[in-house]
Amino acid sequence: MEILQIEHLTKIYGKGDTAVRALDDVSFSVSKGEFVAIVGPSGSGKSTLLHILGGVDRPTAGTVRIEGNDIYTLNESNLAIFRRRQIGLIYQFYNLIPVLTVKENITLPMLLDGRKVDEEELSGLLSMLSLQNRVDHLPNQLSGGQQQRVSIGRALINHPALVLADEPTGNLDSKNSAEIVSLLKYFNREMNQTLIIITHDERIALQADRIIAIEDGRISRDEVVRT
Amino acid sequence: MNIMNRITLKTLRQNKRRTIVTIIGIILSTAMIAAVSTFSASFSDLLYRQEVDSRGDWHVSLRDATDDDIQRAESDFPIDCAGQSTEEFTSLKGYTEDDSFFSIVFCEENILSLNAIKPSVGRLPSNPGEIALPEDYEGQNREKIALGQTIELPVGEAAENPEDPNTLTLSPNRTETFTVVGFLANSGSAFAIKDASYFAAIPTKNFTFRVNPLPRSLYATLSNYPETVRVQTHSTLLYYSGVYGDFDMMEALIIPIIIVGLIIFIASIMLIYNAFSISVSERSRQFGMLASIGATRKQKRNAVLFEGFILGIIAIPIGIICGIVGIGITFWAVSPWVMDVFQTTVPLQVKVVPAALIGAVLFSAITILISAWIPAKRAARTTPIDAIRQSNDIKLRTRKIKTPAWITKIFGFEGTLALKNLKRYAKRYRTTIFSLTVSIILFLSTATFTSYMSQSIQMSQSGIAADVIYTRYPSESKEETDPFLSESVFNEMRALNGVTRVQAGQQIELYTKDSSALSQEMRAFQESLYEENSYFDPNAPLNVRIIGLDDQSIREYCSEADLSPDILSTPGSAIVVNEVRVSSEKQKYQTLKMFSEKEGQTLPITWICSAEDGNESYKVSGGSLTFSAYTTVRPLSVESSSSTPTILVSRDTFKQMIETLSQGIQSLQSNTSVSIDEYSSNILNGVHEFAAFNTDDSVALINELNDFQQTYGGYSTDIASTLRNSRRMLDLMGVFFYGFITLITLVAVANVFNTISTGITLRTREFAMLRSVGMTKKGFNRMIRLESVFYGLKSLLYGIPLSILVCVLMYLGLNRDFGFSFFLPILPFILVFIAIFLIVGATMLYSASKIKKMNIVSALTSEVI
Repeated sequence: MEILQIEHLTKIYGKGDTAVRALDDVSFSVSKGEFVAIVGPSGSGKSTLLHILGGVDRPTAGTVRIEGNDIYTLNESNLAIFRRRQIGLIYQFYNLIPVLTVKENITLPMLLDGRKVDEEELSGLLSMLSLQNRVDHLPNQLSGGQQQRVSIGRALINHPALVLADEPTGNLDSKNSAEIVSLLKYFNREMNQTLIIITHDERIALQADRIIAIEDGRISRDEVVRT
Repeated sequence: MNIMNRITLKTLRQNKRRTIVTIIGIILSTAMIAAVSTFSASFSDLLYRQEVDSRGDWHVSLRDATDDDIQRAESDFPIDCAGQSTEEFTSLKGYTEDDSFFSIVFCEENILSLNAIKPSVGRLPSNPGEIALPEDYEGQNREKIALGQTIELPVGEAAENPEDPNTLTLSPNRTETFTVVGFLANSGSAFAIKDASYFAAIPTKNFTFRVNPLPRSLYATLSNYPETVRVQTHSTLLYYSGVYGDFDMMEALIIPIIIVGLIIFIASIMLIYNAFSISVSERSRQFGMLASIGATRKQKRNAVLFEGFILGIIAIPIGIICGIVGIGITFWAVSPWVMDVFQTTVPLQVKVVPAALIGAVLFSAITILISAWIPAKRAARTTPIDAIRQSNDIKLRTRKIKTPAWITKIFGFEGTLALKNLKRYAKRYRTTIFSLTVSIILFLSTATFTSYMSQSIQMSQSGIAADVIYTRYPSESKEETDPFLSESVFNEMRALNGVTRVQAGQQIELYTKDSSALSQEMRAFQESLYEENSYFDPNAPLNVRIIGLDDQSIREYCSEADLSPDILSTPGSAIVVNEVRVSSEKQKYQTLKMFSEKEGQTLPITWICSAEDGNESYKVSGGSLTFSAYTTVRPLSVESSSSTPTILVSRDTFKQMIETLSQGIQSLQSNTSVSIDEYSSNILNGVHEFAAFNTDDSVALINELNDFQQTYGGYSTDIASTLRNSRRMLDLMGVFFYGFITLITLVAVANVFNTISTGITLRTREFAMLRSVGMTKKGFNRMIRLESVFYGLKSLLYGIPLSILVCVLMYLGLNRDFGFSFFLPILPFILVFIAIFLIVGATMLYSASKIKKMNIVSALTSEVI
């Protein structure tokens, strides 16, 4: 089942002479439970692609369908609610709220939605993330790896259709990197979580089911590594 | 509480410093509004109470009203207290000496309280047959009337005397017997009680009443009363109670309040807006992140508004309390001054008007809402992209932060960096520069205004150096042989307590036709006057003031003016105080030398007699005076603003001159057929005697001089008190002006503190980077200092010229009343200059010191959301 369909996606920054074509007629689709790595040199357009997939930046042309819904036909509020429920974003710099505890940071999307948190499910998630002893800590009391685990928790709490990770290990040492990747893989395998990850790291890319390479805003390579 | 509000609350708690400064800012502006409204409420309350205390709390008095009119008023108005009265005349002396007449009011007892009639001695009359007399008449017929004494008074109409239309005559229609029960302090009339049956028998009487509650339509209702009734209204009291007639003084009161309110409003909005704006930009990544995980616009916007709500809930009540307490303390401190300056008998008290406080709360709430609205909308617009981006510098252009090469030359690389930083954060700093500039303008224009006022008060003062002047007219002297006071009397005055210096003597104003002694500049001035206005007669006789000082005064004066003490001992010799102040249409107040300073110059002086029919005038010569010295030292009694030259002579020369003139007048009268008018036929009419004192306690001296006045006549003027009162007025204005300015400046300082300290915190990583690439502590301090200098310079660059402009406008607007040439008070300008750099510099160093303590690596990798 195809969970993500992208058709003729184009994004142009600026106007006239200074216009930059960050994405140029990009089309592909992703099935449920797939683990896709997007690779490419700096400035190739991979981050732009991820932002557009995440409903964070609008494309100049083309459509993005998630579970069959064209997300850019939604208005601002509905898109926000859609993001809240269907997309999990993981950033390179974690982007945690420094004044909230680990638990609050993880449950933030549910709290924004005004929903009750299922304590049992939360404690399961916390133990999977090895954060069960850090529940009431503030982000600045955690290591980089732990902070990134919190942001993974936050991305997964709502069981989104799509988890998007932008260089999730870019700010971590190799030991922590490996841990984060295996955690992401674990969720992908065990919970059939669809996962798209942007990375520079060859070793991480090679663990994905599929690698899409982008150069100058176009897909230069799209290969299935394993099935 | 929802999660957005919880995040907001926690963020507020984490940024304690900024939260507290913002709360202080809101407290200050709420306090100012509360203070201003309490101030105006208390002042009008003071005026109200003063009015009630001095004139009573009656509202309407119907004069010559019939019983029908009274019934009509009783049905028209909710009358609270009322009384009937009639007014007739009486005298304690005779029927023709009209200065002894006084009115006698027959009234019901209510009238006394309605008119605030108070006894100074004894009590008020309460039964028919009792009377209270005005205090002034207590001893008028030199026969003291005792309390409890029974007196008979003629009562009737006072009418124009048919024989002499300038005087009145009393035509009594009856005589009444009264028991004197008291004397009245604040009344020129006597009051006696009559009961209702007395008034029932009279066709027309006065009906005075108080209305409660006061209808707004009071004036309109009264305008329909028949013309036979004279309607008197206590309009001042009605005005203070909020009922306005034709005159609308309201504007005069409301405009300054609106201006002050507007200034507070602008300053507060600037501060609060800035605080929210900083908070939002600081939280922009937070909002972006929240947006990326699905926070809606509304949620983001409400988070900012909630912040405003929380700050308001804390700050507004405190502000209200601070405002009232602050104004209370101020009133407590200045109440004696206010009573002095405004001559009130009731003290200034804090009057809290609930409506005004609700107004202050609303005002602050609206200020916060307006201030938070734009940042809230910006927060709502924050996109997830803002969270992903590390900084907003993408929009930065090289051109925008280009710095001139000389900056590097003078201030080094750190200077260039400082200037670039300033340009880079231009937007964030704009509000701060703006609020600093506004504070500079407010401070300087207030300071200038106050010094203009003080200058004008000084100018309007006569500029007499004496503290007390005793004046006596020898023409009124009862002494037959020598109308003048003897020198020994002046010496007695010299010995009075607390007197530090006395100049005593006689003075007369005479004329001179001789213009040959005039100085060049005086001639030039007269010609210019003639050109300006051809009605000016260049040949008109000139006024000269001639003062004959007693020996002791001459000795002291000569030593002060550095002249030989026996310079006046030659008869006819004179010292010229050769400085006069003149003004023309072109130039107000210039100081000129009256006479050319040639030694031995003589000046013929004359007295001008006018004929009784007023057409002719005759000159009587008083001989001439020989100028033996010129000086600019003014005698104590002479005004600095005088345009008449002063000539000092000895007592003997003065007396000789009077003698010569007196004889001249006599021979004129015997030689001519015309009769000279009464005034100019007696030379003594032009003479007065004086003693000008310097003392530390003018009030005590005035009391001591009372005895002399009893014996020799004359009167004393307390110049020091008048001067002190106008200075107090100025001080009083200063207290409120500078209090206001200080608060406004504090708001601005809070604003500056918020912006600069946050700006520096946000640059933590940048500073760490600079240090990591080798900027030394010294270099870092240098950069921070230079940033503050550029910063201060920029606000001064806008603030000083604009302030000067405001001062010029103020001067032009007020010049008509002021009459002095434009000047700028230097001290406030210097103060502003220093204060700006102190405030900016101290804030920057404070914030930077926190950063410096931080470890470079942790600062570099730290996350600022």
